[in-house]
Formats: sequence, structure tokens, C-alpha cells
Amino acid sequence: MLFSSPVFIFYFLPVVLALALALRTYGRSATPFVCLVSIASLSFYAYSNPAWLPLILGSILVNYFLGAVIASATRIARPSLVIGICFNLGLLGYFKYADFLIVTANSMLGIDQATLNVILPIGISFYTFQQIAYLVDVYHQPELKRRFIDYVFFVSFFPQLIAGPIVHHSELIPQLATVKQRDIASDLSTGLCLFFMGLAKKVLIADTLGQYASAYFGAPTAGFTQAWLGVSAYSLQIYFDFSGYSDMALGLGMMFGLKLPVNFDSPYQAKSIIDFWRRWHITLSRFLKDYLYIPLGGNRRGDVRRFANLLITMLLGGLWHGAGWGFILWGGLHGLYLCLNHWLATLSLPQWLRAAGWPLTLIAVVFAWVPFRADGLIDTVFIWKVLLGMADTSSAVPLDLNLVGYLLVGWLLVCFAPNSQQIINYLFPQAQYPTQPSKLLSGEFPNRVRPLFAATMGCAAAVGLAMNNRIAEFLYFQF
Amino acid sequence: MHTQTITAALLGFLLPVIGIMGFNAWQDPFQYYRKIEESRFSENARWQNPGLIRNFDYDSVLIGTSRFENFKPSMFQPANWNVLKVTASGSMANEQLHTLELVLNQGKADRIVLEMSHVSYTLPLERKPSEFPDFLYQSTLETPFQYLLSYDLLLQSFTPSKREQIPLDELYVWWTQANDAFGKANLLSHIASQCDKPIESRAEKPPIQAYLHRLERLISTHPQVKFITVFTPLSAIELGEGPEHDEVRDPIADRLDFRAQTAAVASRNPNMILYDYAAREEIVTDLDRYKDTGHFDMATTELIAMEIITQTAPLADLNNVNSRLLKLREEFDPARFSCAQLSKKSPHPTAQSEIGLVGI
Repeated sequence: MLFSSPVFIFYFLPVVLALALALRTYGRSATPFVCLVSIASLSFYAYSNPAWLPLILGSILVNYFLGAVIASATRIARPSLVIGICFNLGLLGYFKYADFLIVTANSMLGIDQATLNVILPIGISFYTFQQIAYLVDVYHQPELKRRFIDYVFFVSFFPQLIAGPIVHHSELIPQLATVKQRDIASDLSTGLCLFFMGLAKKVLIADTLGQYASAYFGAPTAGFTQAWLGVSAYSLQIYFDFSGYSDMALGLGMMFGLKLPVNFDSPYQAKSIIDFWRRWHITLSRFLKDYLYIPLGGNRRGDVRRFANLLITMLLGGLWHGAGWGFILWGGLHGLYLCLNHWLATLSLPQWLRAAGWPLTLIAVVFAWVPFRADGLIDTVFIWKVLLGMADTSSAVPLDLNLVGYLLVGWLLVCFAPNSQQIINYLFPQAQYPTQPSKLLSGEFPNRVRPLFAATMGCAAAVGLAMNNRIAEFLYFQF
Repeated sequence: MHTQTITAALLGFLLPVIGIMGFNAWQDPFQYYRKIEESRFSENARWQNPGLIRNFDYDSVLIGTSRFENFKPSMFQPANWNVLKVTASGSMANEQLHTLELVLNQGKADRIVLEMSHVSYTLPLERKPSEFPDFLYQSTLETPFQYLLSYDLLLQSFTPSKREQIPLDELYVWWTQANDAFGKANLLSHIASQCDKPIESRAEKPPIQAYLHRLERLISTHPQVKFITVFTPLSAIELGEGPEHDEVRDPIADRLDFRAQTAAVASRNPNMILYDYAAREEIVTDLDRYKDTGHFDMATTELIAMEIITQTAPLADLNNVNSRLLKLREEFDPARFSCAQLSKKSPHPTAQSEIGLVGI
């Protein structure tokens, strides 16, 4: 069940939200609210495929049990942590990477091992990482408060279950104690605006650009301009899609009285790759840094080791995104970018070169999206060659002015406009999402702006949903 | 202040939703919720057929691809069959089975005339929801939102005059548009024009068995319905050897497999009858009947309809299903019409066959 699907918007959300608000208002404690939302979240998960419900429940039970053992701080705490990490990685490895490994082994060793045809359970990458983080956190802070029902809530809370943000136990669970005291009207108005803003970003912008991106990557042409337009369309699609989804998650969290961590902070305005990774998929970057890069040694053992750690972290980060060489290549490329960026940071560069940081970063990021999206490494190399003007450009076709218009608006928005959190912080100062204030949003605003903005976002989301339900005339010439 | 914001957000969202859905429900361009017009239809079969199935009267249903589109309900009138045609050009087995399930769920049909096309059953093509709206065939809680909350549908609701003024009997019939495209010369020209096109790689085993299993389940659970299934007459040129290419499956092998499995289904189900026009020599070897290797003319269509209602159509069973076809292949020698042979005769094939074929 996607947040943009009718069943979620018109059935699941209104019913669950109404019940949750009633329990927040009339419940004696937060426990009935926690139970209701946990049951609703598990139903949300099971809706896609009921067979996956035992998997997430089993994962929750095993991790909660191991967490309890680790928290006992006895001699078996450390082995239990290792077992827990292995269990989670094993689960992820089987469901996400088993077939990839078999196919790779087949092609490298010339064998013919049949694939397992494992279906990837939705959200497993997110809830597995979240639980690994929990086990490590419990190991370091055995006093971490952990009621079973709270733990179920922490793992399954539906706004963050299938696409993040990756939440720490300490970020979510303490909020449950105050959920009944919060101002429901304030939460609802902030959450609705954020949700509709995210929905509009997803259905109105990302899905429209996605059609162009799919058309280009489905059949890459040798035209230089077409290649840049196609890759640009994908770069914007993935940003508006993922950040829109994160906005919806944050908005939903807020409607239920809980503040989820920010995942995007204008990443295409980053002035360096290091800066980019502080702004793009922030909760994943934080996880990779805290639970992989630092345990590997971080920057504590010299530059060579530091660069090796960066490369390993980013390669594994790429692999986390999907079982494919394209993702590994994307991660490796960003690892190299980061190494280069850290090395350059030690040099005294001329001012003009520092000023070029933003466009150079943007171009590097756009370039790296190619293996992330292309159908295989052959297409990736081909598109890269075209982008660099190294392939024949004789097949150039006329410009699609609609696409140029969409791209222009899209790039202006991501490069200069305030992001969702900045807008929300400006309109709803009590929201206080951690982000730099936008220079474009300052001073007082008339009170009528807020309802007007809310209505505009609601309308944009509705129109976006209507635009997405397409009717294609089926033309067939052979049959 | 917050209450105002919440109200504004909800109204901003719900008013367009209600407006669009309300207007679309009132106009209902594909007549999904109710029968509105008897003689104004869309040519977009995949979107329109569910409404026809749900809201129109019939006791017999025709399901198939473009090869079945020239059948007219009136052709079955001599037998007093009240036929509804819900064909869709280029339809795959999955689409036809969705259509069949919807027909059977309505409980109105006493008989189904179903085209059995090996092409439909051997290509595992997935269509996008915009092309094949499966939510109209399998109604769920989401169906009203997927159908009515649509900008494209809104455009159609605003322009009802754009729908064709067609009697139901003529719906989807393309014969009149392609009348001049038939004949042996056109057929050969069409084949020649296809020779330069790249061969689609299709190494995987086709999902014939899964689709036929689904079909058999529907047949066996509806014993009161008679299933008249038809192998349509492709020209004998289609019996040529498959391309010699390791990564492409031999289409003849797939076709024989499909035919044998279909005959096996028929042998197990007394309410299913299987007619075989694909091995009817005087039709498949008469190349003047065709405009391309798969599409036959109106005279052939009328002949098949007549033989179906008089029950004189050629029957296929487990014993003869492939033997007749293989014998035909041997006698006809389709290799005469291979690309290599055609290029010897005419190095510059005309593009005549491209004329008038749009939408077929």
C-alpha cells in the first residue's frame, strides 16, 4: 500500500487517523494509541502481501528478545549482539541478495545454478537497518526503555515502515510519553500540509518526469542533448519522488503526534559531495556513518585507511539500495567522490574553484545517477559516453519543449526554492524541523497565508492524483 | 487558526476530488456504472468492455483479439444468440482471462466463443494500467478512485461527441477500413516489409500452462456455460520454420505445444468444444484471404460464424490436433515464402501493406 494509492488515502488513513485521534483525546494513557497504531501498521504491511506478516513479526520477536538479552549486560551481551547483527544481515542477504549472488556466480564461474526466485519483502531494508541500530544502541545504553508494544510500534510505525526515514529508538519512543499532551489541531494542520506537499511532489512532478526518464533510459539514444535531458529528468524524478515520499512520512508522523527525522535538506544545493551526503537521505547517511564507517575505524587511522573506509561504506551503501552492479557502481563512484573531496579539502584551493563547488557537485551527482537507473552496465557506459560527447550524436531528435519546461521548473525549484521543512518551519514555527532557515522566507506573514497554502497543496495533490490515472489508446499494428 | 488551516487543506483536496469524480460518474464515458447510450461507443475496447459486460444484455459472448473483431453479433442472429462482442486487438491471454472472469461473474452468459491464439498465450506481455485497466475487470474498493478520479476521463466526459456514433453490431469492426489491404500480393508485401525488422529475443519458456490452467479452472467451475473455443485460421505461411537463432524459441514448437495442451483441456471438459480453423486447408492456403499472415477477410469471418452456429465447424481433438497441421505444413512448403526467397524475387519490397492497418 503506497501513500499515494487510493486505498491508503481514502480508506486506511481516515479510519486509522480518526481512531488514533479519539484515543489520543479520550484514552487514559498512550498505550491504547500505541496498540491501535501498531495493529494498523501491521495491517498496512500485510495488505501488500499477507505472507510477509510472519516475516516482520518474527524479525520483531527475535530482535526484541536479543535486545533484552543484550540489555542484561551479562557476558552473553556481546555474543548476542553479534548473533543479532548476523540474523538481520542474514535475513536481508537471503531476501535481497541470494538471487543476485547466484546469477553473479553463474556468470563468473560458468555454472548453471538455478535461482531461488525470492520475492523481496517490501521495507525489509529499512526495518532491518532500524533493528540493527536498536541492538547496537541497547548494547551501548542498556538502560534504554523498552516495552514490547513500544518496540512493535517503533519497528512497524507505518509512515516510516516501507521507505524510511530510518528512525532511532531514542527518537521515537520517548515521544510516546507526551503524545497525549500535544496540540492535536497544530499536529493535524502541520501534518496535512506536509503530507499534501509530499503527495503533490510525488504525483504531480516526480511521476510526470518519470515518464520522460523511463522513455530515455528504456531506449537510450546517441543524442547529446537528449541524454542530458533524460538524465536530468531522472535526477529530478528521484529527488521529488523520494523527498516527496519522505515529506508524506513526516506529515503522517506529525498527524499522529510524532516527529520523524528529516531525510532531505535541499541536497541539490550542496556545495560539495560531503555536503551532499549531509543533505541526501540523511537518516541512511547517519546509519552508515554511525554503524559502519566509524566501527571500521573512520578517520582515526590515517588517510589511506580513511579513504578505504569511505569506499567500503559507500560500496555497501550502494548495494543496500538494490542487488545490482549498477547500485554498486553508483556507491563506488560516490565513495571516490568523497575521497577526492576530503583530499581537496586539505589543499588550499583558489577562491574561484571553491565557488565552482556547487555546479561541480551537481554535475557529479547527476552523472552518478546513470548507473543507478540504466538497464545494465553496457547502457551505463553508452550513456556516459554520450553525456561526455564521446558518442555519435547524429541521431539527435527535435527537442521536446514540454520536457524542457518541466526540467526548467524542476531545477529552479530544487536549486533555489526553500525545501519542505523550511516552508513548514516558516508557516508553523512550532514544528522546528532541523534545517537552515531559507533566505527567501523571512519576516512575519499574514495569517491568511497558512490556510491558502494548505488549500493550494491539497488541490495540487488532488490534481496530481487525477493526472496520474491515465487512459491510453491502445494502438496495435501487427495483430 | 489551525482549524482554519485543516479545513482549508481538506477542502482544497476534497473539492477537486469530488468535482472530478462526480462529473465523471455523471457522464460515465465508458458506461461502467450504467448503460447510457445504445449507439455511441468508444473504440478503446479495454476500457469499454467491462461496462458492456456489466450493463448490457446478452446470452453469448465473443472474446478474442483483432482476428475476432470482424465478427458481428448479427451473424449469430439465425441461431437466436444474443451476442456481445468484447474483443480487444492485441489482447494477451491475461487480458482475455480477466474479461472471461468478469463475464462469468455476471452470470448472464450461456455460451462463450473464445479465440484461442497461440500468440496471446505465448507472449508474457504485461500491459500498463493505462492500457489495460484491470481494476475495471476485478472491482475493488479502489476501483471508483482509479476510474473516476482521472483527468483523462474528465476530458472524455467533457467531449461525449468525440465518441463514435456506431451501432453495437459494428463496434470494433475494422474490415471496412482495411478492405483494400487483402490479397496475396499485399500479404507477400507485408511479409517482405517485416524481414528487416529485428527478431525479438524470447528465450524463456512461454507461460502457456499457467494460462491454460486458469482457463480450465473457469471452464470446470462453470459447467452450465458452453465454451466454444476456436483456433483461428492463420495463413499457412505462418507454418514456416522458426528463425535459426539460439536465443529465440521456435514459434512453431510453441504453437504445437499450445495446441496440444488446449486439446487436452477440451478432452477433460465436456462443456468445452474446440474448433480448428488453423488446419482448415482451403482457408489457410488461400493467401488471397489475408492481409498479413494472421488477419483473414470478412468472407472467412462469415463462414466461421455460420459453421459455429450450425455446428459444422472442424473439430480438433487430442488425436488430430497437431497431425493435420504438420501434414499441411509438409504439403504447403511455407519455406517458399521465407525472407530469403522473397528477397530473391523482389529486392525492394513495397510498403503497400502499411496502408490502412492502423489500429488492427
